[in-house]
Amino acid sequence: MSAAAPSIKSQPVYHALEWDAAGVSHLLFVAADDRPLLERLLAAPPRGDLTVLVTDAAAADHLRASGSDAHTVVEDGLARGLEALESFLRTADMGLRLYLVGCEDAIWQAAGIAARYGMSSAEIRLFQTGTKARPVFCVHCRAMTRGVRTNLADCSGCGRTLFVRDHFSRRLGAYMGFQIDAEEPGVKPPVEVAYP
Amino acid sequence: MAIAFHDETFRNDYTYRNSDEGVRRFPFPFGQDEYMYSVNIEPHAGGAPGSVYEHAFDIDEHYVSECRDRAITLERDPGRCESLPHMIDAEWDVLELIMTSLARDYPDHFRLRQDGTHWHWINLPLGIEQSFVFGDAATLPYPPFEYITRQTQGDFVILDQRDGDLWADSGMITQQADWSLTFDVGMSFKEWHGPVPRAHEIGVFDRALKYLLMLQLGKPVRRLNWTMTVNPRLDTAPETYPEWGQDRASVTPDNVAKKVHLRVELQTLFRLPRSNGVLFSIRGYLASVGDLARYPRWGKRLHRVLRDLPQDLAEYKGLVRYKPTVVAWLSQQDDGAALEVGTHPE
Amino acid sequence: MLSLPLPGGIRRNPYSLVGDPHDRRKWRIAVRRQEQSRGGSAWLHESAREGQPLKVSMPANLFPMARLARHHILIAGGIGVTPIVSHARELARLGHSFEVHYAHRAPEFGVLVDELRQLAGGDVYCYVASRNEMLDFRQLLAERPLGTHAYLCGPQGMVENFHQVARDMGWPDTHVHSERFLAPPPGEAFAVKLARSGREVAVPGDQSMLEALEAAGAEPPFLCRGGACGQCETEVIACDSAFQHNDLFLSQPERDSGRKIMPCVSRIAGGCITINL
Repeated sequence: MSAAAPSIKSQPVYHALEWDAAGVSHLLFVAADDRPLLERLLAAPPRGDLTVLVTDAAAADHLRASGSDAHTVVEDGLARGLEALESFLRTADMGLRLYLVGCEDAIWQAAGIAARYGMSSAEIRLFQTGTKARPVFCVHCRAMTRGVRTNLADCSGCGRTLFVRDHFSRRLGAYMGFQIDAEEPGVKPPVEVAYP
Repeated sequence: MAIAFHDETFRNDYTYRNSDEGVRRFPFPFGQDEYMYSVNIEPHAGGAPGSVYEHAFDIDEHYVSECRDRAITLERDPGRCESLPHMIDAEWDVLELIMTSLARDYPDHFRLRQDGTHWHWINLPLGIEQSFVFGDAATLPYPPFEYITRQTQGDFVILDQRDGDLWADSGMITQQADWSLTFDVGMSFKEWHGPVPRAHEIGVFDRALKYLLMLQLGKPVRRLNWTMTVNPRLDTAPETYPEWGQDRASVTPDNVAKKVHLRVELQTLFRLPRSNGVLFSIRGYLASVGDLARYPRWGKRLHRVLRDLPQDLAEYKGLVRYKPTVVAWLSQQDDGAALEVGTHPE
Repeated sequence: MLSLPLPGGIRRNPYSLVGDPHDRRKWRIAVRRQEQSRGGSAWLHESAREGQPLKVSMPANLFPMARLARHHILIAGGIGVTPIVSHARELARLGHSFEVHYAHRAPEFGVLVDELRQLAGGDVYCYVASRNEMLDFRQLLAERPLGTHAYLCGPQGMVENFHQVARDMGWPDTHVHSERFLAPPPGEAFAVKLARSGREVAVPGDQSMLEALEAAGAEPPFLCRGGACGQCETEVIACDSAFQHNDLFLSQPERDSGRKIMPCVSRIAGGCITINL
């Protein structure tokens, strides 16, 4: 499943996830329940060590039931999962490939941690699955509003009504939000679910 | 020759004005009646005396007031100057490039004494005198990049070159055409230019990136870019959009000539010697539509360019709301006569 | 880039700066006398005199440092030590974590080793061939923490081996850097037709296409003169012979297209090539 070319080129495009044969060890970070994807990947594991780090309870159940013999670590929720990811990377060696599966909020937070450990985009593959909800960065007050499913959202920091743009920052792991009615106060388009 | 610096404002009462000479030297960007993106890059190797291209960094009559406006913006929002930690060598490269250029090109206004790593900088227009140790950030009141760009007209981005790309990892951005440094810092060349319509499809950024990756030391390049701004306002950042957004709805046939400004960016790019980064300088010039139309060639040409501007470019540049008013006013100045190719005023 | 006034004409050779980049008064280079010199190193060792003015171009950085690395492994083969010394100096100044591995033929060839020790302290490891000490890339690159970058400057065979081992061990190309010392390899004589002027230039077997074009008064763009930077990329209009691509810049599809050549190091096997110049 790969999206059509985005109107703004900073918006990430995700390609079907495959193992990177150039890696000698692999860490699969799973933050969403995408059973067909996991089954397909684990049916043909890559050469070298494979660790699966799961933060989604349903995905963990499926993984247990599948009988995969991959080394699996289950963490309760995204926050603990990101901590576990960080401790793994702290002692990991060159040759590792990192695969991030989940909603954009989860996978880009994880990618940000990997970047701090000196990993380049050549070592990381991301795949968006599950909700399309967006993390939104308010350019006026710099607050992050997570889980935004609509074209307009109230900023969690300053309360302004933000329009969610397709412009994406990998460093912040978020889309840009700006006040929708700055030119004509009170004039706003209807609210629609844009990112289910 | 000494420049007579204006005392003027870029906010509230907007007392910004161009002198006659300021209008004449304005870098009018349209050489033809139609406008489209191109890789319009040329060597930045000097220009006619008095022109904006003459020196590496152009200083003009607005220098003192622009620096004051920048200080106000930074006071309100220090995040307009950002620099990722690995950029410290590039910061010093920029300080050296700007100080040596200004002292060489404007000896009446700027002086630099270098004794090994002990440097002494004098900025007469701003009344600054500073002794410091080159390479030791603790000897300056601000980090080196912020220190020198607080004393230079125009916005600045430092690009880090790695993995076959250029990354916008530092910036001093207080007078931008509606893009956010806080949001864009750390982006790759094409991500950063992501919102620009059309140019990606026609390969402008592929070619520009390939060209800039090979930019050589001592051979800077330049290009012009443009947009329009309501009121002579420098701080048109997304951050403060709630403050200036309503201005776009304030344009009327009576005030359009004075209120709407063509905003031209003289963009220059310099390879930096030690960090291997690239300094991207975005030097903005503002002239009201009425001032420009004092030169009939410019008035007619601006009319034709705006009238025929594709809608997506007008939207990207934020002109949609007031463009018809500008075009209507300019149409009164345009007799339809053919104009020769070129950007010259007369 | 030094312009050397050789008896047969000006030769432009690139050399690495090994001095302190913060010293604005001098630039320092190290030149090993090549046994099969094309004239440049022999001229510098024998004929260059103190006080003699030489034309130098602005320096270019074609072997940059990865400033986001968590650890740097610097590897030098022979005279390839020159850019490695510069990197060691920068890393020492920045206080970054790094180590140096230096392979050379015999103890007397270990130029600049004292300087490296001053910069890197105990983290300098020498591999001297005359003492049967071998540098094993597999060992060197094993169990390195994430975010490590490795840099090599040395002869072509060493560079190829280094990249191959790194790839086998799962290192991405973004973390593996090399600067090859690439003198233009000689070959057969051939002819170049300049499509725009209609002129024809003869390229002798011991001269590069770029040098022949310059000697004939053409002024093609150039920067590294080593096939790495891409500056001299030239469009090929016709060619009646086989290409000998020696550059590091063109992609395989670009080579296969037969439409591009880097005249600084690449040539054709006799015959005639027509270029858009």
